[in-house]
Amino acid sequence: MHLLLTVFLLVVSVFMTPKPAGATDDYPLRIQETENERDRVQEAKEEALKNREEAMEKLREHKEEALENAETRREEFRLKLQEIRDERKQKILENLVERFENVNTGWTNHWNNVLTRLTEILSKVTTRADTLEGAGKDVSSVRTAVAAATAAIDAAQTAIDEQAGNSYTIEIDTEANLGQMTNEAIGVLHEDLRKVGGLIEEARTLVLAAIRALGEIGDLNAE
Amino acid sequence: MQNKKGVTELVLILVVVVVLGVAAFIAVRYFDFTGSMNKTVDTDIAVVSPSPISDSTDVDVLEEEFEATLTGSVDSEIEEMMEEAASL
Repeated sequence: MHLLLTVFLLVVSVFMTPKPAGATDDYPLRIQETENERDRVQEAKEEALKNREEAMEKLREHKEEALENAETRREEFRLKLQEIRDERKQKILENLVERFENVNTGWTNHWNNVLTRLTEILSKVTTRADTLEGAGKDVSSVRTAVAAATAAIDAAQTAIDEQAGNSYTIEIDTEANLGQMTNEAIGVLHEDLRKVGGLIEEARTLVLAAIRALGEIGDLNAE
Repeated sequence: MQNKKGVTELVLILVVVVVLGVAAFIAVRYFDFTGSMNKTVDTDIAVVSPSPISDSTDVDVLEEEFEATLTGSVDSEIEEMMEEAASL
């Protein structure tokens, strides 16, 4: 009996709840619309994440290839390292070469995560644009911005894959020019990473442009 | 005479408190500093994933999630490597 009364009161309260400010006569339709959009967002995000999984798999393959390719060079480096008499310098060089790999792997993984997030955000921009278009809004500016951002994300992904495939070592010539050779190797790594970082930033800027384009259209209630 | 002794003790206590406070402040700053010195790519990765992307398509939420997605800079890490290499 209590249960029935509770259900009855709940139903009554739903029907008696006033519409939010600014709501129009098709308010229930809007709720339905929102729920539909939420489902579509989830689907779009799942699809985007599936694509990102493929990208991650490709990245792992590139890294494995790089490790195989670097093995010979690393062996040569180890032999040369033994020729250095100063143990302190030996240790520094060993640490640095290990760091080259850690820095490269860390940043390529990090940027891959950035692209995953940007892709998810962009998929939501697209879903929202679909909803607005369905409501009769002109979303061509959003479509253009999303296309540019997608192309930039693809270009950045290619750059990340290539970067993940790079391996770095220090060419040991003589003990006298160890500092110079190490600085050159660090310089190459720095330049390579900066180029990739630039492409990620470019993709990021274009994703923001897509969000802004969406914002300019306004919501469903805006005329 | 006793009053003077009491004042001296009070001043001493105050001095000890101030010294301990300064020491604590320096310690906190030092650990913070060394923490930032040891900062690796991992910390940047933590910056990029503060929270998962929501299902909201609200422009404000999209912008917030965008702002939390940081590219980061490799410069500080490269500088550290350069410093290490300087002693070769």
